Amino acid sequence: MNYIQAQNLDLAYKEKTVVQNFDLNVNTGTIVGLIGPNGSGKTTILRALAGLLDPQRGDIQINAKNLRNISKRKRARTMGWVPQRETFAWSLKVEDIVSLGRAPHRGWLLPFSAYDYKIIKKALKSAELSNFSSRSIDELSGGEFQRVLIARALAQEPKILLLDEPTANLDIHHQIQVLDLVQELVKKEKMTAVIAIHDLGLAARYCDQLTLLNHGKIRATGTPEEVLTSTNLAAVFGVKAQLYRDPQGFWALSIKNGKKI
Amino acid sequence: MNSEKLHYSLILLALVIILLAVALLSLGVGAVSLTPTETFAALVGNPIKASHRPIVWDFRLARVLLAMLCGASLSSAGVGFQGLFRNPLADPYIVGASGGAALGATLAAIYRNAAFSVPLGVGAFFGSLLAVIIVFLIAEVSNFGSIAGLLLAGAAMSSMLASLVSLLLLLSNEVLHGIFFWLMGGFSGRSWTHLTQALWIAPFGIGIIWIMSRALDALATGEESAQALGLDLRKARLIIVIGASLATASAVSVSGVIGFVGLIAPHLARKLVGATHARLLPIAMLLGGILLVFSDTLARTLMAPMEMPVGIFTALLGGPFFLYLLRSSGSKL
Repeated sequence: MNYIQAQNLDLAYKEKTVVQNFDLNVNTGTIVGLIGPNGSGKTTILRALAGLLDPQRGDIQINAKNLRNISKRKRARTMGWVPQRETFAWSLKVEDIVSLGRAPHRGWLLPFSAYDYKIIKKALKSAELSNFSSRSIDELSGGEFQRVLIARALAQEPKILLLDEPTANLDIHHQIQVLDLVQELVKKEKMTAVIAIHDLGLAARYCDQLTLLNHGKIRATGTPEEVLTSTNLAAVFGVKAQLYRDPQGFWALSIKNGKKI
Repeated sequence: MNSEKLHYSLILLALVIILLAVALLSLGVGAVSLTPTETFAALVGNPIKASHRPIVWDFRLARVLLAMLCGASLSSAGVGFQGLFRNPLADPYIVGASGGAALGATLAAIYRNAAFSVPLGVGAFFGSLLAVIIVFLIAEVSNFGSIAGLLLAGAAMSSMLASLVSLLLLLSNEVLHGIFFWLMGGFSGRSWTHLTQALWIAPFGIGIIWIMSRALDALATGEESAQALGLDLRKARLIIVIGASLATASAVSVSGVIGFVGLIAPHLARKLVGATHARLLPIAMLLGGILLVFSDTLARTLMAPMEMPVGIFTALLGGPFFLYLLRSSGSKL
C-alpha cells in the first residue's frame, strides 16, 4: 500500500505550467529524494504535497484519501512542511516558533497542555536546539534557523515530512546531522519523507528512492543506482559523473566538468 | 517562576504603575490644579475640599479613562493590522482604518432621523472594515514590495476618505460643528457617555485580537507556513480585520482620528518583550494607554485655557517615528 500516491499531476502557477505528468508512489518508512536542476519543479511538487498548491490536473492520495478531502487541520497533523527559507515578519523566540507545531493538535485558541510541552521539548532536543529555546531567531545562523523549522515540523508529530532543500544553508556537519535525524525518524517511527535536494551525493546516500526531474517532467525514477546513471546526469545536468560505492559502502558521486562531454 | 516570566511580570507591573501615575497626574491638572494627594483623596471618595470631588469625578475621570481605553484600542488595532500585513508600519491610521471609521461615523451622524439611526460606533466599524479590506486587496495585487504597496494604497485610500468626509460636511445642511471638532481627534469635552459608548465595542475588538494571538504568531512566520500548520488563511485574516476594525471604530467613534498611537505602542512593546503576540498585546495596550493619557494632558495644558487636539501631539511624536521605521525597513521596500 503506497502511503503517498500522486498520479498524472499537472502543477501550475496562474497560467504557467511548472510540472507535467508527475507520478509519485511512496511507502511508509522510506525517504524519497526529488532531484533536478534549479527550476525543475521540486519545490512546486512539495508545495502541492503540502496542500499549498492545488493541482491543475490529477490527484494526490495520502493513505488512500484524496488530499483535497482532508481538512486543513488533519493535513497539518499528517504532514510537516519545512520550507527552504521563510521571511519572518519579526523575530520570534525559538520556543514560540516550535510550539506553533502544536497548533494542528491543540487548535489556535486553547492553551498548550503538559503533553504539548513535552513534545515541544522533544522536538527541540531532536533538532539539537535545547540550548537555543529562548533565543530570538534573528540571533541564529542559517543552519540553526533551518533546524528551528525542522523542529516545528517535528512538533506536529507528522507521519510525513516534506523538506525543501533542508541542507542548502548548512555546513557539512549539520547537513549530515539533519539527514541522519530524518533517516532515524523515518526508520524508527515509520515516517515518510520527501526531500527536495540539490546535493546528488547526499541524495544517493540517504534516499531510498529518487525522482529525477527536468523542466517539470520526470526523467527517471527508482533507486539511486537506477536514476543516477551517467547518461541521465549528462542529459539533465550536463556533467560527466559516475556513481560508486565509497570505502564505507555509501553511495557517492564523482563529477567532472561537463564541458568536454 | 523562571527568569523570563519574572522579567515579563516586572515590565507589566512597571507599566501599570506608570499608567496609574500618569493618570493621577492628569486628573490633577487643569483650570483648578490639584496635587496628587488631593486627587487621590477625591478619587477614593474622601475629598480634602468638597469641590474636588466633582472636578475629578464629573469633569476629568471619564476623560482620562477614555484616553486610556482609546490608547489600548488603537494599540490593539495596530498589533492586529501589523500582524495581518506583516508590516511594522501598519497603524490603523496608515492602513485607512481610521479614515474609514471617520467616514462611517460621519455618515451615521448625518443620515439619522427619528425613524432610523445607526450608532456612530457601528457606522465607524463598517467604514473601517471596508476601507481596510480594499487597501488589503490593492496592496496584495500591486506589484510593489509589500511595504510600498501598502503605504501607497493606504495613503490613497486615506486621502480619498478624508475628502469624502469633507464633502459630506459641506453638503449637509445642518451645521455640523460638532462633527468637525470630533474629527480633529481629541478628548475635549468627553464624558461618561462617550466612555460607555466606547466600552460597548472595544472589548470585542481587543478580545478578538487576543484570541487570534497564536494565529498572528503563525502568520509572522510566513503565510505558507501558517497554512501548512492548518491555519485557514482567509478566515484568520477576516477575523483579524474584524477585530482590528472594531478596536479602531471604538476609538474613532468617540475621539476622532488619532494617528500613530497604534504604530508607536506595538513597536516599543516588541522592543520590551519580543514579538510573540500573547505577550505583546497587554504591553502594547498599556503603552498605548500611557501615551494617550500623557498626550492628552499636554494637549489641554500647554496652551491653556485653549485646548489642542491630542492628534496633533501623537502626530508630532509619531511622524518622526514613522520615518525612522520606514528608514530601517528601507531595504525591504
